[in-house]
Amino acid sequence: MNRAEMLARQRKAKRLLSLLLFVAATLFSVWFIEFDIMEFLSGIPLFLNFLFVDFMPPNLDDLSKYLQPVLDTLAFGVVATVLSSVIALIIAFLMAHNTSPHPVVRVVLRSIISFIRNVPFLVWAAILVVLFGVGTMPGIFALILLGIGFLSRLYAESIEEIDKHAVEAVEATGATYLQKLRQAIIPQFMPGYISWTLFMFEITIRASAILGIVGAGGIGSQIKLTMDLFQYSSTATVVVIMIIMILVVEYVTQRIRERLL
Amino acid sequence: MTILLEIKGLTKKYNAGTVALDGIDLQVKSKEFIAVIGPSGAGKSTLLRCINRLVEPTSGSIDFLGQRVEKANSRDLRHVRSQIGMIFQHYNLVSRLSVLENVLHGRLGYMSSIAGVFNRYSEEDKKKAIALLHKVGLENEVYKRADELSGGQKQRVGVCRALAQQPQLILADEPIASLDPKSSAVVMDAIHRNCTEQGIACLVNLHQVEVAKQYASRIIGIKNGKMVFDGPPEALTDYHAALIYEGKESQMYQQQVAEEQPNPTGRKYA
Repeated sequence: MNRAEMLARQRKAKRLLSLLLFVAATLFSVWFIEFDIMEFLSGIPLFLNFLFVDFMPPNLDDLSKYLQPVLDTLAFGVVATVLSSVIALIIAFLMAHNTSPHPVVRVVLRSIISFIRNVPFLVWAAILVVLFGVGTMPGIFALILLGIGFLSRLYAESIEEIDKHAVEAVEATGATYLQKLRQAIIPQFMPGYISWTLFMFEITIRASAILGIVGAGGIGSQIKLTMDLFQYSSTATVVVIMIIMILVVEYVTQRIRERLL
Repeated sequence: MTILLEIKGLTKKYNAGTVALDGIDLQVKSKEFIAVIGPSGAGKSTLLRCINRLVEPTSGSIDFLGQRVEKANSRDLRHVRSQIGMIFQHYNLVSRLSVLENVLHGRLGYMSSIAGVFNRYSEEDKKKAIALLHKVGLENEVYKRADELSGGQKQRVGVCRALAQQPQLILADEPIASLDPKSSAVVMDAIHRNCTEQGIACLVNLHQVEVAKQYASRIIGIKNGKMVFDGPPEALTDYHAALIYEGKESQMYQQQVAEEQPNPTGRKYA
């Protein structure tokens, strides 16, 4: 048997082994969680029935009742985006390697931000609901934490990516640290700042719709409320409102981006 | 002629172990126009960047108007930098700001930190900046964004930024290496004329020997981090040039292929 043939056989054996392992892992998991394929299949008609019979037609009687939660959600988004972008901006300048005043500051902030970002958003919301009680405050706080974790990192990355040459030239004129920030770094960072902040606004709107599920207010709480009362046709209305709201926000931020950049 | 800059035993070793500069001694007197020639990688750029400490020297002393640059704290270093203009190969403009704002950056070293942050440039500074732009033929580009200009125009903005500092010394690091021959002549003329008129000393890195001979009052040849020639342009014979560029002869005459379109109006500015 020559070498090429042996290598080919080895590769074939490896492939077979990985396939076997994969099948074994799947079978074990199915057995472990007692996943019942029949229950899943027989659930499909139930689900479709629920979606098309219980949910339909959307109950449009009390549309005006949802105006307040929609406005709440939009206001959450604005407040959370503005606050988190201001805080994240400061953190980002302290954290980006080309603007950080000291490596220690950078490392400490990076770890804090990474911690905030790695705790899932709904976990933050659940913790904050326990701390502040059910209402709008935990919702806004959760969104701000989400924003800080997300924006600090993206801002810092945008700052690190800007053209070093222009910064070097401004430094060579004898500019101070703050002058360098304002005259060389901020102008180049502006497009990134605007576009990430607008994106953050879209994310907060989506997230604040979900927030209601943990009792943190906004349009999402209407979903939970109507479902708890078995008013599924009203739930359908809320879901439609939510989708429209998200699409409108996406459209508007897109237009703003086009105008500004 | 007073001594403006005195460099003694300047050495720069990079972390990777390369020795970019190996004991350079250099005196620059006021109003001198010195061309630094040598093949790429010889240490020309490092030499210029050590003078205003964009690159930290490893050892040696740099004396600029009685101030020890290599020992200066950040405040003194800013003061030194404010008196030394710099022109870069890639123009190094802030592309999203206007031409005028880029030129005004030359004033930052003379302003308080806060005034610089809030763009509080004096009316006089603005007038002078606009006058400089007129002088290099950019009167119609004053309020354009820097990234709308051609390469040659950008470099003229770079020259204006350096001149706006009203410096004692200008460091020009390969100012024409990215330009076509026509723009190169315009830019070199602008640098040379303004330095002569205003009595500014200039150190300009070049790799074309012919350009160096045309403009310089003194030529310095650098090879492998060491100074191998120092004298008036007439003294630089083909023999010296061949020695400096030994093994890299092609760079001697090389005019890099134009990256950008020459100035569309075709007018020659100085």
